Amino acid sequence: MAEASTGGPRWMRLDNAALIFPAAQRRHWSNAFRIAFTFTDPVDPDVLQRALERIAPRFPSVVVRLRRGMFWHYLEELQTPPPVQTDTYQPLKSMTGADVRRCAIRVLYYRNRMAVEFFHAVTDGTGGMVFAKSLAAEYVRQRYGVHVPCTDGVKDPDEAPKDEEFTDCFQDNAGPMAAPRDDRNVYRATGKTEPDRFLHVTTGILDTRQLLTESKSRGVTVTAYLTAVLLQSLMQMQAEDEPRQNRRRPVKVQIPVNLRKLYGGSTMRNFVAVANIGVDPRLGSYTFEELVQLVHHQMALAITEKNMRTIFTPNVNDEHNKLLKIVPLGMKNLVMRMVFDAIGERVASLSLSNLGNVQLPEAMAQYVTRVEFVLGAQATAPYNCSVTSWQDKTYVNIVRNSVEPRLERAFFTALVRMGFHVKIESNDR
Amino acid sequence: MYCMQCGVELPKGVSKCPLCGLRVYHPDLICETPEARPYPPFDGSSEHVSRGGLLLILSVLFALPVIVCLMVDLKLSGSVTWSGYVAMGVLALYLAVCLPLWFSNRNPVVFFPIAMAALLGVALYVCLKTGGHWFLPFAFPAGGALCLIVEAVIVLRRYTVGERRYRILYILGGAAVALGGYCVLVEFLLHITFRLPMYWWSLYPLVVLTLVGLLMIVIAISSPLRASLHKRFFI
Repeated sequence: MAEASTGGPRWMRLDNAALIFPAAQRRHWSNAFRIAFTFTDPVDPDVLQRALERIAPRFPSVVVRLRRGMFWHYLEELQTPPPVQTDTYQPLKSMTGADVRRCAIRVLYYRNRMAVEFFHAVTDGTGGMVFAKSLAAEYVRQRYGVHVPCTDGVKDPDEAPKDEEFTDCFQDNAGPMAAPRDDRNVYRATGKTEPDRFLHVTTGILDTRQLLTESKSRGVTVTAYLTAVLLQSLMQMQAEDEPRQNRRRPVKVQIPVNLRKLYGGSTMRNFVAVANIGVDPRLGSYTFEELVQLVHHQMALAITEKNMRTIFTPNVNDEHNKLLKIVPLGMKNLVMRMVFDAIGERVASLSLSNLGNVQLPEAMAQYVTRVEFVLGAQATAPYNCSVTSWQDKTYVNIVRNSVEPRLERAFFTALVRMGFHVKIESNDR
Repeated sequence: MYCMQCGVELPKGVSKCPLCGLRVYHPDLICETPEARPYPPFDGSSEHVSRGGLLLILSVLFALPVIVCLMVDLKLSGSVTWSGYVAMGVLALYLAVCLPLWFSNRNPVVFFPIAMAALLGVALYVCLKTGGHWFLPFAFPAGGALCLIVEAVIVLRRYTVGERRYRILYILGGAAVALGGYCVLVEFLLHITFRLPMYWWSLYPLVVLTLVGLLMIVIAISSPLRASLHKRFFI
């Protein structure tokens, strides 16, 4: 719930999932993601700025800056939205502490593309998509003078923000049972880090219908299908790194699950938990069919209302720990950072976040040629993967901050061998 | 346009495949107008990642006790006496631990001899300050020989090729034999420097280390022996 101080800007506590992100943030890494819309014409920065100023009051929990309290960080609504900036060669440039204290989101443009980069403490992919859609819709309204209805996730800029959009839904849905933390002994890809931490973004463009037909023919979802390809690629990489099969480690992919679908609610804050799906290569080699079925069944077991509740309940319990509450923020950050480094990322090899097929109102869809979602790299391993579909194209983005494109090559060439037509784009220097 | 190696389609006008690095070029290929890049081109102003600040703080932390000791010593005795040992010790530690951190390529082939030279420098200082005559006849040859053996292991480990576990057997085997010889050298240097009697104790480690080293080399050479040992000693 947002709390309004007399005469001052609205402020809100961080939601339960967001607490870790400011603590885990470091000079050259911050947990951020990016949603981009490409239009039919070059972006007009003045119109984009006006569109941002128009919709900002509708999203007081998104157009915010991060501030430090004595015991916790909090988000403070910005009275003036940030200026739109030109995009650089480097997407998802690290958001430093000073950056997020000014504004925790960035609005960027380059040629025909508008992009919004979010610090993850503000919102999750679903909330970010609602904001980006609303911004794109307002831009189309002002740029082309068309009426774009407020449907398909586009919010009405004239409407007042609703109380339920500020809710930390984790608190309302935590249960009595906490699941034990996952095994940390998983395969983590390594590679020589780029000296300037350059983030390579490699986009594979696939035909959505072909992907859907292939996954449906095996009775699984697109996410499960792509996860199986990713697991196969990770196992191939690990086999190159470690020839002795008994020394290999389980490979796991972290799949973020939009909890709004399980528990309801329309919060604009984080409401996501992860399911770790994987296989153990020490048990033998797996056929692709086996992998697909294993992923499918593991997802079915993990992504249930009851099971997901046990995954985020321990974090909610920790937040309510009386001892932890009274520890000053600086010390709390140290502890949380240590926990994040020791446990946070080490339970999976990487994440695969699929925002699904993007739906837009018909009136604006004709001006949009592409929608993309890019997840930043992990703090201690070079890769991450994000997927989104728009109309007949699926965009699979693999980011890495190491020199060699090992995972990308294994993943996309595996898809080519399976008969997919893959077009590759990258920001290589 | 497709990559011949990966089979993926590439945007028009790219010079190489982003996945495998294969150059996209064929003499018969008509030069096509490049597609717009997905991101602005690299402008050369990459985010400079420098640990300079942290290393500067570390250097100050090293320098502080040295300065304090020197000041106290100068105040009390009017000259550099005991504080010289502190300064030389801290300097050697700094050169061994912190100096490599200033460089992005921390090659032990370069930095190990520097660390050893720093240690020998401390030994030389102590020798000169105490009026001893043991540096040139003992510390320098003993330290130098040890440095040569370890350096040889590092170089061979880093720059030779071959199957890893057998290569390491050759290297460690050779190092074990060299260490045996080193024990004899140390006993001999002790004898001529400090006039200690020759008990020939160094022959025991020489024999043991030579046998162990030769055994490792034989195991590395003979694959039937390896198979037999594996059969008898597998866990």
